[in-house]
Amino acid sequence: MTEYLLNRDLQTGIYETFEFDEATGDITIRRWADVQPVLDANKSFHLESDGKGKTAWLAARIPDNIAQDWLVRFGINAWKGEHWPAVKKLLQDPEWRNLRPTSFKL
Amino acid sequence: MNKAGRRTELAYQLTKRAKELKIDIEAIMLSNQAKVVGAAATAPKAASVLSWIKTNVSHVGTNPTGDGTDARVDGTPRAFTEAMLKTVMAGVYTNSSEDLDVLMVGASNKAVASGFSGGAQKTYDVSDRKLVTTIDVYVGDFSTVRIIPNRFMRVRDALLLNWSLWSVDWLRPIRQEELAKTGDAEKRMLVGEWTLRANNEAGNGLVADLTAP
Repeated sequence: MTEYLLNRDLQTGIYETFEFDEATGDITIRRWADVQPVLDANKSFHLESDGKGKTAWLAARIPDNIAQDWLVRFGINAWKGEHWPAVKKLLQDPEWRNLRPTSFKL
Repeated sequence: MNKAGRRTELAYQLTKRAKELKIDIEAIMLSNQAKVVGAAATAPKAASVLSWIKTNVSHVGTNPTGDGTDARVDGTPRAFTEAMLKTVMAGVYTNSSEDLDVLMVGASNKAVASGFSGGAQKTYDVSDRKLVTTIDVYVGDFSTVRIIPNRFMRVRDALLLNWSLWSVDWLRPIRQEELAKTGDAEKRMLVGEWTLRANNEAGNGLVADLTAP
């Protein structure tokens, strides 16, 4: 099987590739992005500021690809307000701590 | 005759065109378009989000009627301010029993909106291309706001959306049809018919007529 480039978004750094299985007719589309710069920015911001503004505090900066992963794996939709309690729970998990540029209690 | 790869090429091209179609649908929904009723020689058009929202709007131009029959009339752009955002959010709070899901903005105004919380703007400039698209979550005393950029919307608009108050309704879901051969090539058509349904425009908001810094 050959992997073809389907899309490369220069603005967001997101890549999509396409694979087709001639025998079964199955199509596989892979989507990925390097989220490390966001995690690094979150970490460095943590050192510079507490994220507290006049009216709102920066609580999280979640790369699209990670939000998509949560949707598939846990059924949690980070784009929806009603899923905020579940998102909040994930953000408090040490595994996802680098999605938070701040550490105030959510 | 070696036909290896022909099915792959067809599937690849269909996938690419389907992706283009999906982008076109999103761009149309976020454009400033009034509905057009179809006729024998007239293609029907769906009313876009901007032709529905009229209740909670900060604007310079003229609001549409709010039933999809006409588009917004744009006004002279001005800079996006926190006061505009707060006014519209307060309007949504008053006119709806539900919370907003997202503040959707063009890339340049995402940086502006991120600055409203104070301090974060410089470090998180989205024009830095190394950073992938993100959902920025801001927690306030009375609400939680998720700011997301959208490259297919007009940069002059900032949309405050409640997803549950919109739906895409399909009359004919997208499918492929084989077209008659007129040469050596194989031809396919992707065809579908949809519209955007606004369940309650007053549960959403819009800051219109913005400059793109």
